[in-house]
Amino acid sequence: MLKKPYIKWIAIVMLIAVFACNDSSFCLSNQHAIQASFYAATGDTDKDTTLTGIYIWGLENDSLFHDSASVHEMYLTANLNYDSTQFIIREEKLVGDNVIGENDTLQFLYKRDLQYVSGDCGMAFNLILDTVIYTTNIIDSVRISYANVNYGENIENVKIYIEP
Amino acid sequence: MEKTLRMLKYILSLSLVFTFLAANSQELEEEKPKEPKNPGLSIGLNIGTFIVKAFESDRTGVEATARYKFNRKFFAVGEVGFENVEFDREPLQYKSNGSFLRLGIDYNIFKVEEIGNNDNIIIGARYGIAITDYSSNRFTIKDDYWGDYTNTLGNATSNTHWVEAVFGLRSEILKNFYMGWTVRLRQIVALNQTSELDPYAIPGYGRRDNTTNLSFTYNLEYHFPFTKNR
Repeated sequence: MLKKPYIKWIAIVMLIAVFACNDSSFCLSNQHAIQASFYAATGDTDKDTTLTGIYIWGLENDSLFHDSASVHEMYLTANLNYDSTQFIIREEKLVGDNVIGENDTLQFLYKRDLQYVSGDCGMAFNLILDTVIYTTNIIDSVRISYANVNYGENIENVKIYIEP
Repeated sequence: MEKTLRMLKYILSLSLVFTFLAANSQELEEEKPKEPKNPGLSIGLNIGTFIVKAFESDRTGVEATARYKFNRKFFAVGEVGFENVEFDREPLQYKSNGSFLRLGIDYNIFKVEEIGNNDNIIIGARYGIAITDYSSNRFTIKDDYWGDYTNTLGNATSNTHWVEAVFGLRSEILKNFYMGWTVRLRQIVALNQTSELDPYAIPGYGRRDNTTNLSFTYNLEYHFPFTKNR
């Protein structure tokens, strides 16, 4: 039979094994949202811009991402059933006693890449942004700064330049 | 008087020589007899798989061990088994069947203090391969804005190769009947699969979520000696 000093080692190794078996993984949500930010369309360097009175929603969806808010950065959830998603950005300004609003449409075209995350979290789509099509009422131009929308990453994908 | 002293010196020297020779012969007599090699084959079952089942009811597996003892120090080890996994969770429904084979050696670092003590402290290494067939009849990606995305992933096969380092204890609790456990650090070296879906668990390796796994076995073995000497 093994002697007492070995019992100490048995206990230590078993403790390590028990702690190593603890699974601390947790699942992230809304990881297929495109991150976009507003920038001023003046100057050679990017300058952050915040717009007020902004409404943002997906085309053919009544729910608003932003409702009369001040917005610099936004998370635009891509529709995973299709290879493109359209969003409406509306800016409302008070001119005198009147509220004047202007809309722009942003259409993101992307490739969907199905990925396994884990047994507990299931699957996720990573997106590869290909093209952005947009109107130019509020928007001056749009540039894809980082084309990959990946699970677990928090990186700005699109810069939206606004005419001051 | 001088003659008497010389005689005493002579007797004393002679007695010292005899004492030394006697002690030396005693040492030779007390040299430990060689421990018999006691080669043989042990067949066993890893009941750790049933312990896993108690904590993870989704996983059902069986593992058998064959251990060939060359001598007191070296063992060749083969481990074979299968594991089935089936669960239906909110993000993923999953089913798999797979089998595995691990081959390797164990080295006993336990120094014997008594004849007939066959306990072992083991360090060893294994090379493992596993084949798994698996599928998901439903997976759901949650989307509160556009609505959840649901689809299926058909049958897929994965081949996995890994290496592992082994440390453990093995004790003879009854004559030729052993109980032992090992802790194993496993590292995948190659994984080929035919689907975007990874296998949830690889038979003989453990959960796929990590490329390095710490695992535990708890074996009961019976030793069939090839010689009658113990």
